[in-house]
Amino acid sequence: MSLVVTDLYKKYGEKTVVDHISFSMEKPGVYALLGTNGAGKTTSIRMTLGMLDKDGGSALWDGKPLNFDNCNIGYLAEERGLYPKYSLLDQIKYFGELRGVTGKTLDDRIAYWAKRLKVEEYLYPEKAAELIEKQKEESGEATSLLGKKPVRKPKKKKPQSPDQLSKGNQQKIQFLIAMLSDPELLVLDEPFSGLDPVNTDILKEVVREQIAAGKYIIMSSHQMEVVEEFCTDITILNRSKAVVQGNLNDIKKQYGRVNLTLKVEKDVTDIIKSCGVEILSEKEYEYKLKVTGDEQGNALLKALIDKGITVVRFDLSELTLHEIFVKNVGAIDADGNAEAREAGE
Amino acid sequence: MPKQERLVSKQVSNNTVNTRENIYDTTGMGKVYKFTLKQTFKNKSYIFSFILFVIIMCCLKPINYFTSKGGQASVESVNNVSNTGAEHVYVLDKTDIGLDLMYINTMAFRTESGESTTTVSISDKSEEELVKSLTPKDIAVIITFEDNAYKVKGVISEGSEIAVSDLDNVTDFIKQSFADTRTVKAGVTEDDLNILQKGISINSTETQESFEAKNSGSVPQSTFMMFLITFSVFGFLATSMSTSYIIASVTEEKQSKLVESLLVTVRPMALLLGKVLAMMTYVLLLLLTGIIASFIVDFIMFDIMKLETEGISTGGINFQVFTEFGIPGAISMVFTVVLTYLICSILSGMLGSACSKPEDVQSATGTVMMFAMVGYMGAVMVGGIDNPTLNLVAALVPPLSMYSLPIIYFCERVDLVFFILSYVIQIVLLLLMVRLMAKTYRNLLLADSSTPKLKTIFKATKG
Repeated sequence: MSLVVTDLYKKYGEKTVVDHISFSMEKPGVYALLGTNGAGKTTSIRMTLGMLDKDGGSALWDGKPLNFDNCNIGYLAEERGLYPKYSLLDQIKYFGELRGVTGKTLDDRIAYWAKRLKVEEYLYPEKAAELIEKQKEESGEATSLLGKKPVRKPKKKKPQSPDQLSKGNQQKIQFLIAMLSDPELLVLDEPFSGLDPVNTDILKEVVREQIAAGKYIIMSSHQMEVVEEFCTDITILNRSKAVVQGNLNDIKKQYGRVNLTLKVEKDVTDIIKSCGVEILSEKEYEYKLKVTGDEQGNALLKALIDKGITVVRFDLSELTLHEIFVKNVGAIDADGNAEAREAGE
Repeated sequence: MPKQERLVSKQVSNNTVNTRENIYDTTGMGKVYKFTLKQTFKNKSYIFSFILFVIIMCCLKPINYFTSKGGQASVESVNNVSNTGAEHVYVLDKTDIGLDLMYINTMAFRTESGESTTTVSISDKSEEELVKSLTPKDIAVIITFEDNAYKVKGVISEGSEIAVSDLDNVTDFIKQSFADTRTVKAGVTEDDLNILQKGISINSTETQESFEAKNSGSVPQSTFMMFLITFSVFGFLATSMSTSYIIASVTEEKQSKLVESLLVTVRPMALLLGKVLAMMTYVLLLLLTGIIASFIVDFIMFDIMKLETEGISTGGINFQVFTEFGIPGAISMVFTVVLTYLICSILSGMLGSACSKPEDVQSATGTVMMFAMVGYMGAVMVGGIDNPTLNLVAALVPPLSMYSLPIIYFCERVDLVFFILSYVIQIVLLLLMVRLMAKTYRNLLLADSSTPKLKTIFKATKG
């Protein structure tokens, strides 16, 4: 199996939104598509999956055009939703059937993923009632001063409608839908946005399992640290073009080890400056420094030792994905100035 | 930045694999159909509409029956003047007819046991004297002939003890008696009267028209008009019942961002057609249930209860039009309604997919309803004018033909060749719309700032 995307091109009127983007996955793993808002990530994904007409280029899965006829695709869209008025179970089954999973297999998979993603109570009302009873028992509400109350059969609760679910739970239901067909290619567009840390961990665990199971995963996200945890290859898009592409380790190596964290027990600002090293920040003798490479880092360490300074911590590391992104895409601050700049153009 | 990282790939793809997608693929349509139909019948408002429609269909004939017969009953009740509270009724007849007092005193103003409750007499006073002489328990009824018409008015004294409703009853009764006396004195028998009262003008018009229609070998204009109105109502009903649902349903999928998840599992064509066909099933089931319910009520009323059919209004929704022209007529009418439904539904789907905001739904519904309204009103107007050229135009040009073709043909306003040509035009229109839908639906669904205009749909063909 292989995914080969070549020269994807899309124009809306006079504006080019995806400008000759190519990438490939020769083996299972996680491929990250990164970029600022409006860089063309979602459009590239839509064209790759055959959802949107291409103005140029191709996306091939095992040599055939990539679409749901030729590949078992699981897709978690960035803009996700559920039918607000239909029951959750009905719509999950509908999506399952559309993906060709039917009968007992479908029921079993729904049950498995509901348990795995901890959304059983929203799909099966009796489970919700059981859970409430269990919680009551645990909190001691079920027992009286005279002893234990007789065990009552939990009341069947009305299933929750999708619009009553929190955003995070809706997202988990969407993820469940994406997993129903046991996809060979999983496309996750901003999978962790809007999730609390507990649910993020649940989803991360599932992603790890899918990687271990040899699935092909395309991931798009703004959360660089999460992407960095999973991906092996990346493409960074900026203004509809790919600006960085390749294996993440190789890319990092090209930049060298330039981040230095130094912790000492006294002020060494003069020594650092004398070595020509840039100080990024300092807090209680813990310095965040920028060096030009291993050579400058080692020179600083030697100078410190020569002057009899006790070095508590000396950590010379590569650029993070976040830094690579910022370096290539522009000076982006946490408030999303990039977005504003993009909109202002 | 290292040079090898900067990718400015402008190479043209040399890929030889055919990546053209079959946009007409309808795989998965059955599943969309099943799900949509199931959800439609789970939707409370749709179940309510269904039940309400069937109840209305069941009630139409009984309502028509009771309103037709109810008029007679109320006339009869007017004649009940046995207990008006009046001691004397003075009739001042200023005409030459001469009211039959014997008849009045024998037939009315009596208790069930036959005792007289009120004395009725002819007054020889002048109008002014009579009114002045009235006591609180007297009624004066004055009959005059003015401006070539007979007038009957009832008068009571100031401070009278007689209720206005009783005065009305007495006046009506005297009026009726006067009319009877008038016809009897004119030498008209009761049978003649019955015939006359059945509506000379209507019968004579129809007779004359039928005579002319028989000579020309066609259906009379009034019948043609009636059929056209009735049939076009069905087309309009089928369109209006489904339009808003389809638009709302498509817009819901687009706005709730479900559409992306759907489009990786089913092609747009299958997605919309599944929805359209499910809604068509709902509408057809609704009409079919309405037809069956209506026929059952007819059967109970006229075959089991043996009620009189004469004089019952045939207004409102009348399914009989489907049986007027035999099996070919029925097939043609059902086929035309289905074609009309499909054309309007696909238009609804496309306009729905172009809606980006909730308020766009109204605009999209308005456009489809306008299209349907032009067809419906045009068909009705053609029926009213019944001109050969206009009939031909209406038979051939959509949307007019969608609401009138079978009636125009089966009432012999156009030839078979135009009938077939019109179907060809409608089918070609439907196929063109399907093609347009297949090309644009996906692009419109994924567009964030589209508006429900035809211009937008055509623009979307370019991607």
